[in-house]
Formats: sequence, C-alpha cells, structure tokens
Amino acid sequence: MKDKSSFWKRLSQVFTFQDLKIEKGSIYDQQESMEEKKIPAQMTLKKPVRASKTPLVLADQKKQDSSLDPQKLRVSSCLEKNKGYLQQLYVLPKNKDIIVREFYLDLDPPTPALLVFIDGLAEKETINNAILKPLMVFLRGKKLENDDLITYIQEHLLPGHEVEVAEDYQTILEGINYGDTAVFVEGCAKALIVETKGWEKRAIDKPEIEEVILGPNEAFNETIRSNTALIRKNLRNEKLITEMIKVGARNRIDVAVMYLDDLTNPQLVELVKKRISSLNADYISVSSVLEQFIEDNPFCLCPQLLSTERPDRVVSFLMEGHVAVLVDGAPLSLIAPVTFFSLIHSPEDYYLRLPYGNFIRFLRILAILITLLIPGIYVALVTFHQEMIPTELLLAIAASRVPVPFPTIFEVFSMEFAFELIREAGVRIPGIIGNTIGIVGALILGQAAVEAGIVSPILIIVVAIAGLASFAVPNFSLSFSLRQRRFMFTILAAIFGFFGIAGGLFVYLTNLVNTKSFGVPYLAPYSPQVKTSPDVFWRGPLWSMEKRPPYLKSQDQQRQPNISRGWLKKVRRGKKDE
Amino acid sequence: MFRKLRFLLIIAFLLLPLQGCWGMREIDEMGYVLLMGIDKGKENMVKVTFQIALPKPLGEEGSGDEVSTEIVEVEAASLFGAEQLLNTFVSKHITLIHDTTVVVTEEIAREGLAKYINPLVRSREIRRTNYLLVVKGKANDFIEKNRGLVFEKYPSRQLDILMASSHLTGIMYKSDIHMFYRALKSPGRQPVLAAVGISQNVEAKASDESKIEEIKRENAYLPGEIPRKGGNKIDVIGQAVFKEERLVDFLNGEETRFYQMVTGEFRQSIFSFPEPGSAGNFIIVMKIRKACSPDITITADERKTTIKVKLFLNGEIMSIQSGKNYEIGPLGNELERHISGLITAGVSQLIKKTQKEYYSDIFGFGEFTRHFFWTWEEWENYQWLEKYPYCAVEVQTFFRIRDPGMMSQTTSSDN
Repeated sequence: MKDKSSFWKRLSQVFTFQDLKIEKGSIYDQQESMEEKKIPAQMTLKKPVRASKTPLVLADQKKQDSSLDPQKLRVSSCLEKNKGYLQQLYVLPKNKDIIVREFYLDLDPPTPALLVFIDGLAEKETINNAILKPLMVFLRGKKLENDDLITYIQEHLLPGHEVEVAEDYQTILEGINYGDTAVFVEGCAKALIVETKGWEKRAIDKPEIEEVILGPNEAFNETIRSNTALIRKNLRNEKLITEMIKVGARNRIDVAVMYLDDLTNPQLVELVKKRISSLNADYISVSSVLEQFIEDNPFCLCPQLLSTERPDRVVSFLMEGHVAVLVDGAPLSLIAPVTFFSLIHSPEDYYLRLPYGNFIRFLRILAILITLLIPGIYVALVTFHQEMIPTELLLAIAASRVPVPFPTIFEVFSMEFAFELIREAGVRIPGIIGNTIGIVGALILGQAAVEAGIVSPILIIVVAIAGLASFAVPNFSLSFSLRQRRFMFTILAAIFGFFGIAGGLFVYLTNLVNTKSFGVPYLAPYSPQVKTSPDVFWRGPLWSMEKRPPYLKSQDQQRQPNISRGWLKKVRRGKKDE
Repeated sequence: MFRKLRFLLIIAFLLLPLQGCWGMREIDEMGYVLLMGIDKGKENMVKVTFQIALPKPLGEEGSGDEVSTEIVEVEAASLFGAEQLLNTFVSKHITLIHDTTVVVTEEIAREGLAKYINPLVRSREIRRTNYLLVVKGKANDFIEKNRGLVFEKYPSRQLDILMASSHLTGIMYKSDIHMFYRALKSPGRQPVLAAVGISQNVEAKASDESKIEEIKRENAYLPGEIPRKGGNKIDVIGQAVFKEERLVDFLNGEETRFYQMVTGEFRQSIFSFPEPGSAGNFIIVMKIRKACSPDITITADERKTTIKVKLFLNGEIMSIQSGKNYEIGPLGNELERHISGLITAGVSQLIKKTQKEYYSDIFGFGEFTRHFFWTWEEWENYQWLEKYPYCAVEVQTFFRIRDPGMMSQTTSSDN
C-alpha cells in the first residue's frame, strides 16, 4: 500500500508539472504553487482551464469556495449577498454560460432583482416574455411588503406554468443547471424557479437498432422528458407512475423509474429504486452505464437488463408488470427484470400474424444456435468426427484444405478475427468512407484469402453464416455475448471435439440457470418451471395470452379474460356473425 | 473459499489439454478408404483391395474422366495388418471411417465368413451399416472393373444409390454387416447377403425353352450374367445364400424378389407374366407392390410343423398386349387368380429349394417360433434350423389389381 501511494504521488507530481503550462506571474502560477506546498499528494490531474483575461473578482475565491456548500446554503434576503453566492458557486465571471441579469421591479420604490439562467439551456423567449416583461412592466409602481412579494409574484405575475419557491441553493442550482431560471428579489429570503427549459434536441427519429416493418417506428431521443412522454403517449393510464431519482455525485442526472402503480409488484419497484438511489458514483452517463451498476451479476454471460429504443416495446413490458428505467441523455430505456426469452423476442413477433411471427422466432432461435455453435461444430467435425460428414462433402472439404498450410483451428480463428475486425471497423469508420469496408472485407474474406491458399472456401461459408446469424439476434447485448462465447466454443471444440462443446453448453446453461435478474430466475418460466401464457419459445395467438408472466408476481395476474374476443359469443354454429 | 475453488477449477481445466490424449486429426491428412475387397491371398492369408478417395473439390470444372480414387492391393495376415502396410506407401493416415462397402470374394465366403466378420464387427472405424457384398468372382476384379464410374465420382455414393434401388426393383438385395452378424448369431435364421458380379457381357443366346418359360425367366440372372452391352462393368443382382457362415449358392434376381416378398422387405417390382391362355404370345406387365406385410404363422405339434405364409400384394397394370379388358369384371378376377398362382408357385418353389437344397432358413421363419418359448436357452435347444428342412409350407397369395394406370379400359385399337 505504501508503495502504491507513493507511486501515485510521484505520478501526480509529474503530471502536474507537465500538464500545466504555467505562465509566470499569472494567477494560476500563484494558486498552483500555493497548493503544491500545502497538499501536493492530493492534487488531482486537472487540465488547465483556458486562461481568462478578466482579472479575478474575488481574491480569496479558493478559500470561500470550499466553505460554500449548496446543500446548507440558504437564500439570503440581501440581493448583493445572493449575487455573491452565485458568483462563487458558478465561478463567475469566468463561467461564460451563466447569465445573470439584474433589473428593477417596477414597485414603489423600485426593488432590485436578478435572474440567473444558463445560456442555451433556457428558452430566451420565455424568459423575455414570461418573466422579464411582467416583472418589469406590469407591476406599475405597486406598494408591496417584502414578505408577500415573492408569493405575489408567483401567484399573480409569472404566467409560466411551473414556478417554484425555493429557499436552499441546492434546489436552485439543480433548477438552473437543468435549464430553469431563478429569480432573486431584494429583501426576500426566497427565490423563484421558473421552468424555462428549452435546449436544442434531436427530434424523434426512427429506431436504428430495433427496426420493425409492421409497427410504429418512433424511437427515444436523448431528452428524458420526451422519452417519458413517448411512453405516456402509448400507455394512457393514470396509474403509470414516473418517479425521478437523481444519480451521480458531481453530475446529477435524472433517472426516471416508470411502472404501473396498480399492476407492478411493489417489491420489485422498491428493489429497482433502492438499487438506483443507493448508487454513489461520480457520474452515470447513459443507461448502459447504469445497467452495469445495477445488474445482479456483472460476470454473467448474458445481459440481465434489456435496453430498447422503442417506446412501444417499453409499454408492452410495463403492461406485463416490468419496471422501465430511463436515464436522461440516453436514447434507450432499460427494462427490469428480464428473462433470457424476452431477449430473443422482437416486437415484430407480435406485429406479424401468428404463423409468420412463429416463423421468424424459429429462424431466430436457429440463428442463435448457429452463431454460437457453428464454428465450433465445424472444427469438431473436421478435426475429430470426420465420420459424421457425408463422404462427398468430407472429400470436398479435404480437397479445399489441401493447399492450406495451417491447422483448421488457426484457419478458423484467423477468419473469425478478420470478420470481427471488419465488424468493429464498420462501426467506428466515418460514414462517408464506410463503403470501403465492405469492399475491403469482401476482397479479403471472399477472394484473396482463398486464392492465396490461406483459408479454405468452405470455412468462409461457415464464418459468414455465423456472422450473418449473429445479426439476426434481436438484442445487441445478447448478440455480443453470443459472438464472444463462440470463440470459447471453438477453442473447446478444438481441444475436445463434441465432448468439449457439450461440456461448454453445460457450463453455459448452468451459468444461465444460476443467474437472476432482479430476483427473477433468468430461464423462467422453464427453470424453474411455471405455467405461463404461450409466449416463450413459440407464441400462441394473442388472445390466448391470458395471464401475465407469473414470475413477476404482479398485482393483477390476469391479462385478459378467457374469452377476449367478445364477438365470438354471438356466433352460433351455422349462423353468421351479424 | 470460493476463490480457491475457482482457482482450482481453472487449474484443472487448464490441465485437461495437457493429458496428451489428442484425438485431433486434420481432415486433409487422412486417406479415406471408400471400398474394401477381401480376396484370398497367395503369399499370406488375405489380399485386401482398398479403394482410397483422392479428394476433389466440389464444383471444380475439369475433365469428367479424371480418376478420383486410387486402388491398392495389399497381402497380409489380417485386414488391419493390410491397413497398416498400406500406411507404409500411402502418404496419408489411412482410416476406414468412411468405408461404405466391404466386398468379399465367393472363394472366401464358401470357406466361411465368420472369422472375417469378427474384425469388421469389432472395429471402431468400420460401421456396421457398411454394405457387405459377396462377389461372384474376385473382389479385386470387381473393384477395378468398377472404376469407370459412369454417374458418380466416388464408389461410396454409387453403391449407396445402387443399394437403395433394391426397393425399386426387388431383384437386388441390400445387406449390411450388421444384418449378416445378427443372422449369424440367431438360432432362428440363416444369413443372406447381396450378390454382385463382374459383367461377362454375355451375348443373348437362343434358348430352346418354351415362350412361357422365357417370359418367366426375365429376371432370373445371376450376377455377371445379364445379357447386356455397355455401361458399368458390374452387376448387382441376386443374393448369396449362406448356411451358417458358409456360402451355399447364389439366388437369381427372380428368386431374390420372391425372397423379399416373404421377408416383407419387398416394396415394388415390375413383373412380366404370360397372358393366360395365350401360350406366351402375349404378356402382361404389372407393377406389383406390397399391400401390407406378409403374415407368417407357424403351427407345431408332435408330428408336423407347418409354416403358413400369406402374401398381400397390389398390382398396377403397365401393359396388356392382347387388348383384352382385364380391368374390370370376371376377366380381371381371372387375371388376379392367374398371377397369384404364378407368385405362389414361385415362392413355394423357392422355399422348397432352401429346404431341400440348401437346408438353410434364410427367411427367418425360425424367428416366428420364438414366442413358443420362455427363455433363450429353450429356444436354442429347440434347434429350429435342423427342423426347418422338414417343415410343411403353405403359401397363399392375396393379389388385387388396384390401379389400371392412366387407362381405365383397354380398347382394341391399342393393339
């Protein structure tokens, strides 16, 4: 431990000196040297802020800064003091995003006031028309007591739809940081927070990961409010609850937990909320990060939360009694809990008619098996169990392998690696030159490698099928997991043949059986076996799905009555439905 | 605790590949034997002929008559000894896992096949589903003459398809190692194998038989004797009859068909019958199918054991030369009776032949006596195979014309 700390000490010193290009005589020079003397070991690796030309307003800013705790700090009745606090809290005037507008309320006598907002986050039109205009114009020299002033303004003057009164700076700062405008008035120990959120955001777009052919095609965007609204738009029920939890110590991000109050198992809701609110991380950026913080088993081979970009999918999960978790800034929603089978479902399964839906499910299950096992099976067959290959095919494979100087396993690995490389490069490559990837990949994989005698053509078919099948897996996370596991199975097959694959599958299944997602066994309803609606591997007709998944223990188990097609009651044998 | 356990597990897993039990073998390092022939050796016990595949890529264009197999003969004391010797001059690891057929010469079969079957059955590499054929002549001849594979690249596939067509014709037989082994061990049946031969390109010679006999002898050829010209040089027709492990005789195509009718393996075959009352001037061609499995019952008392065979067959008219209306009415019934009579006669004759000439129950009638006994020993002690030649046989044929083909009525203009 001692060595470790000294190492970091040295490292931090090194970086302090190298990173900060200190101009002699500047304020940074003084500050840094001052700090260095005091506590050199705890120096963080801060990058230098771009030097401001404005001289420092408060000489002893550093000292005061540490003493200012927005959680304890309360709004002062003296406007100047409030201004000072704000200047310290927002490091003004260095911080150019923060706009502090000072003005006079048209009272008798005119009372100074100020409003604070962040440029770009707040909507300026609203501020001009709904805050400044009424406050500066409409008071018309009224006489008002200071105590009533804030209430009067809130109740009579501000036409904004959401105006809060706050006394502590914590609330005020959170409001301002999220696009609201704070109004301070001389003589009032309270401040008004006016909702003026209005930043540039992406419009609601088509889903990019989970496209369907028949069905709605809107996807979440990066604004949590749009996302919750999208869900609400699709689920018109007053019992749909959206709870907001703030997560992150330094960057406080809104996390919305959505569920149906009269349906979802309250213990499940509690569990999700407890996990999220207990987080003590500096910064949760997006839902995928949150997922890693709250999942049950980080080392499990499969994802334990489902992320989707489709509001309609979230709604269908909410209606089953799941909980949806949305993170501000992420165009994805997390669903908890999930089972393995919900990961292999796609909304298209339900939007298509029964036979078609089942057909694509069958295709998908086949794709999962293929992408997981095909290279392994190929290796096992070719190196251990040649008696299982039809003679003609065997001889063709043997003939194609004759010019190849490498063992099969090397061949498979190099090809798999090349494929993964193309795939990864295809994601990272700028869109404009994206086409080249296809050409290069096709040339390397399809043509040159075979002609050069590095790999055999049959192997390319195997690798291509495995790759193709992995794209048919509807869940990106699951597809990733399968791709990775594929390598394991290939290695096992190369060492032990089919025995290795069987052993690998055993371990894989054991791992899955052993996993729980928010208390729900991962392979439910198969392990443990429970009776459920016909929607696990195959899906039955939609009207036959009468029960909600029993493992969720939702408050209302019945999804629809036994006869949900009411018109059937009228029909009698031999008579037409009228 | 868990960390330790996990660590141990990982170590155990990593040790697994080190045990040296590597069964891995690269596909292109192997030499795949597709066909094996067993002959009597001159210097040593056996002369084994191996047909080894030369791998050719699928779909590659090239001259069609390119050789895709290599034929090698080795003399050794045993089959596996020969395989080992083969490794000394073929630069591939010889394996028998893709061997589909074992051809045994008549000579060895007459001597007794049991000692050759033993290694075939015991070996891990040779499947029991391998076809086991008895060649009338030399096995190496058969393999070499078979080289000009007309339709297939490899003999394995060729023989696969040939054997499968036994269901189409009925005059050939499909036999594998397992069937032979099972029959050899059973106290209720004697083995039969498919017979093959090298075509002698027999010229059709004028016979002094009556026309009726000629028609009846349409399929009665032994392997190698089919009068024909061109095509592949091998014949697959007929059966080899064994008594215990020894070859007794060959059955011709006609008899093979009757044999399969009795055992129920028969599916369909095309028969030519002399038309009743036409003195062999007209024939009726009929495709006969199995209607349902034959019903075989055996009744035994102190004096006499009787085998009753009921055959159920359906017919489809393929040709009526005389133009008579056989489809419906009394003429049809007459034809049915006529044909059942011919089939009954043929089957009875064959059974009689196996009883009196071969003393060999190749039909497995003995299996139907099994239910008389409580234990295997009792059944074995019953000594069915010795009793078989003295059994009475009753054959009944139930034949119906079900399908007149695409013509519902024969008209005189069809002459």
